[in-house]
Amino acid sequence: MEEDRRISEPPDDLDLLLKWGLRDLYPEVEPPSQVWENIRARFATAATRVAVRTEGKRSSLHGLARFRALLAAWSARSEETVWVPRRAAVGWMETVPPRPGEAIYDEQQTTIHLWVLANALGNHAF
Amino acid sequence: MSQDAEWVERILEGDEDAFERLYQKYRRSLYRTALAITSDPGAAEEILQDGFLRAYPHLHRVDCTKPLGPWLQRIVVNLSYNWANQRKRWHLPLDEVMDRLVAGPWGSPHGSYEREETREVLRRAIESLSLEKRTVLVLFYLQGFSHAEIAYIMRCPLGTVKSRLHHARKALRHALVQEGSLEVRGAAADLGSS
Repeated sequence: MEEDRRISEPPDDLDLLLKWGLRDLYPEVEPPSQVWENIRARFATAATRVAVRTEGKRSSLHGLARFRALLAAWSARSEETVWVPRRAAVGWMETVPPRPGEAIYDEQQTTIHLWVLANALGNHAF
Repeated sequence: MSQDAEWVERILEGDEDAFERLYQKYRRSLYRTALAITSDPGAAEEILQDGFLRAYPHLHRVDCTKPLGPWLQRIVVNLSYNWANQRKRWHLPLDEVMDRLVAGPWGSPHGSYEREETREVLRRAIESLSLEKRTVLVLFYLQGFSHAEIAYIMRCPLGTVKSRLHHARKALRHALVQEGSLEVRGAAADLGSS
């Protein structure tokens, strides 16, 4: 085949003409510097978007930590504290870290499960 | 770890310098491919730019045990195809190539006039090829890729690459012999063979 032929036989006229002719027609030249400037500008934007998403997720986790602290404070005020594994009416779910490659959740998607203090709150859901 | 792999790792961490180094390594080769396929410097610039911007979000999926060159070439070839298909500017009828015959003796191959004419004939003959045949020629003769690498870049079977190369060579030989730019020599001449 062609590759075998190249190895076993010397190049013919056409091989040489095409090899040198194409290099002459299309020499390796420097593309305009503006090309890299445009790429760099878009790269910075893309990298910033990733940073904003990551920051949004961090804010959600911070909010979750604060809420847990609040729940702990409420339970401390009650004489009898019974944690009832009952979903709140609002139905917030705990944030789950994304798997590798999975899209990062934004703040609006972050939710928290509420564990209701049945005795302290009189079975009232939030 | 290869240099490309090291840069990819840093790029995925947001390292712009690493991205620039990758660009500096491959920019001339990719630009050359785009220019040879499209014959349009403006389009080649756009394709080079878009090629790197499209590559960036997919870097995490690249097999970094191999050089990035063929993968980047694949992106550039696809973008060149898109550009050419949108504009349908890549194909010139072979008749138009023949119409550019220049009357006059074809003397010494060292004369600048003959060289320039041969160059022009070659350019027109290449531009008369289909997009796929032209791309195979560019990747094989200009960029020096193997048949297997070209099959990967063009996303086609190895046999298709060899077939396109064979037919491209045949068409060019026919055009160049007609022009007198290429002499028919013995076993190397496959003109008229099927």
